[in-house]
Amino acid sequence: MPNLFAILGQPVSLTLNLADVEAAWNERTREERPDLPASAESPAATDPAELHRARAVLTDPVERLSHWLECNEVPAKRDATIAPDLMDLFAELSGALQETDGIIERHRKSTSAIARATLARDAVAAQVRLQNCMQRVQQLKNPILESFEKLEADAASGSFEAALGALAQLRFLRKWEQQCQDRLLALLSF
Amino acid sequence: MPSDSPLIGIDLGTTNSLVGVVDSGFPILLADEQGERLLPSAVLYREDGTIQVGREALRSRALAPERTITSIKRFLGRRFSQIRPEEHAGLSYQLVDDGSDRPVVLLPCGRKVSPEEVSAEILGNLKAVAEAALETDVASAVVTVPAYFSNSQREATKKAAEMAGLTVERIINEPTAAALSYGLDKLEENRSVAVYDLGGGTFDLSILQMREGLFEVISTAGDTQLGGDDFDQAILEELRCVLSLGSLSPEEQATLLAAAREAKESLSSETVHTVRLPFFREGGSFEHTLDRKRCEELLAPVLERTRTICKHAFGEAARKGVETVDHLILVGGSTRLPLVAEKLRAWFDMEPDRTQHPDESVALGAAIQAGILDGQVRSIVLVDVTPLSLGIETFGGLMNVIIPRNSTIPAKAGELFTNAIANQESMAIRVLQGEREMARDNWLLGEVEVPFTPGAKGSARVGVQFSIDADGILEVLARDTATGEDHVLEIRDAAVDVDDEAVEKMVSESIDYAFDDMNERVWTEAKLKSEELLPAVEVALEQVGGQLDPEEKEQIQQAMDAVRGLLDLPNRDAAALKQANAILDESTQHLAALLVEAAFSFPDE
Repeated sequence: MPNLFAILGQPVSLTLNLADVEAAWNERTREERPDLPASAESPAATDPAELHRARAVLTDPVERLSHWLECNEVPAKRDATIAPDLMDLFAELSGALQETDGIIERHRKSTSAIARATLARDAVAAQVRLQNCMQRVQQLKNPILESFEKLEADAASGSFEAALGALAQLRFLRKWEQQCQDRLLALLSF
Repeated sequence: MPSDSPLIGIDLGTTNSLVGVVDSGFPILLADEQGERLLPSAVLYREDGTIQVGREALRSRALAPERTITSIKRFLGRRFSQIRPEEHAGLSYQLVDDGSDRPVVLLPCGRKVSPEEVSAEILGNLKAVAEAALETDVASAVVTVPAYFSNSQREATKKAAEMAGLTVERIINEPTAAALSYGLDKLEENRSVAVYDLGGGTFDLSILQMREGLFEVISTAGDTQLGGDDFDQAILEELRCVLSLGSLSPEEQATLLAAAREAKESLSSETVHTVRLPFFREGGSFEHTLDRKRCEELLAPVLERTRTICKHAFGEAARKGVETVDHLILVGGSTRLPLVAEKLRAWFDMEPDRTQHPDESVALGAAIQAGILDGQVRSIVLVDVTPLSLGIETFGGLMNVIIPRNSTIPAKAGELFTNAIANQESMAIRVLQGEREMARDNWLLGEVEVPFTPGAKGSARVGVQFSIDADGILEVLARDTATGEDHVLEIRDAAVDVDDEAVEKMVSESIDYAFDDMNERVWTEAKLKSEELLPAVEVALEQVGGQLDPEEKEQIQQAMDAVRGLLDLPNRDAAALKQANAILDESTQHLAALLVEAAFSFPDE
């Protein structure tokens, strides 16, 4: 993969200024005109899809960390395990997701307003439970994101172990966040 | 690429279509010989083989319903098996499977025409209107599609244009086009807008932001099967019920649909409307007075569906850092209903902007985009997103997302595939579009065959690149890592290879149904519904029954007793049970609302 930091003129760093990234993307997009058909006389210097991807990756902390490791030529770890302090949340989350899926399924099968209404109370409870999970995801995510400066310092002395660990945990947390969000959206249509 | 022949902008709508162009820097719409800009999206296939498009075709609908094709956009690029029974029920013409799971219109003469062909007639007509107005040949166009259109629907639109002799220079999303026509003179720097686009058959909500001349779509959500047609259908259903009309012939269906549409339009400005159906059928004439309140009750559930979609789009925009919108713009013919603005005001606590012409805004935006492409319009850079996640099916039937929804387009993502067995020559990948976790719940775009250089297990690696272009259309490229060679993979329609067992099952099921006693089937369905209703009503009465006045409570009790009585009767009267269920369902609407209200007022204590 090409260096996406370089495409937007940024240093290979975990602690970028996001406003700079946005400004660089804006400027490059206006130069490259991805909305116009490519002309033979002036082919785009950079593939517009790459510009968009660079912005998407650099503005997302998890993707940025992953790409930063790639740029530092650190091989990805395959067998990631859930850290002990995430285990409790994992158990609670599995329960909450299963419960919500049950409610969504019953709602989908109901054919009358009154039958759907009897599910409203459970739906509200499930919503609260999912929101609590989301909150705990945030609480676990924040200290990892705040450790980015330290991860960079470690890297300067050649150690990427902590960064690899952080990436694995962030990936779990993001997946859970996504699962909660999907269910919350489904509950919205009640 | 400035050239002699002008680039036109086309809004190919479910109900109406328009064509525009940029003339000395300003977007304008082109009119036909009668001075009309709006072309009804109706195509009449006459018995003598000639074809009529537009207003005249529409007029023939009540006389030749089976040969007058309307709302064809609803079926463009879809699979036959995806079309719901109620969608067929609402049609005056016949839609059948062409044998490979694609819908085609079956005309009374036996001729079959595809949705692309019907759309091509409409596009060809618009092309002719433009050529007459501009007095020159027209060969290329910008065509709009609903933002939530899938890859197949976009491809079908492109194909229809080609059949009409038009090269599509760009496909642009309808709400984006509307925002462009709004934004050209109204939008200030660093402002964001939400475009609520409710057309005849589709709904979209897109959120856009203007920053330093860059007009960027942040998020979009929609439903390609939701629109004004559903309003008409709801009113039609009400008329059919209150007038006890039973089942309808295609002619009656067309007449009643026209009456329903007239009632909807009239009740947008009047408070009461009398539907008159003189000499409707042998049995006489019918008449029914509908007031605005009842009409709005009928339409509310359809609008409620748009609310959920709005929440999705606002949620996604917030995640991408756009937490509030400065303007809420209404476009699409169906936003003329006063109820739409009223609901939006209540839901989002902001005044909807109705300055855009509901029918013309999208076409003007298409014309502006055409102007941008041929260099006539000052520098606006438009950046859009892909509405649906793109992925592939993985082990266990799960969908593995490769390009997430609301990614800025053009977008690219790669995936590496390895041969799982020695000397494997290729592998098939199923490409999907949609937001569901299970592969089978998503839209299957087709299969691509990834070729391997034969070798030991795990030795052949092929990089596959999925790219979505500025039209929102997918291309799949394979790169052989050994040779560095790239080639485009064909996306094969996977619909035809449904496995034999599934086909057999479907066939045997349909035979079973054929011999089934009709009364028995209706009874079973009705009994299931009773079994759902009775315990639910009991629970609801226990929890919030105290809030009902005694009269209403008594009414519900009677409705329940009626259902119970019929269930206990030795002679199964399916029709009566169905009717009793309907009464119980209707009489507990208020109770259901109370129950929902109660659930939300005491959250988790």
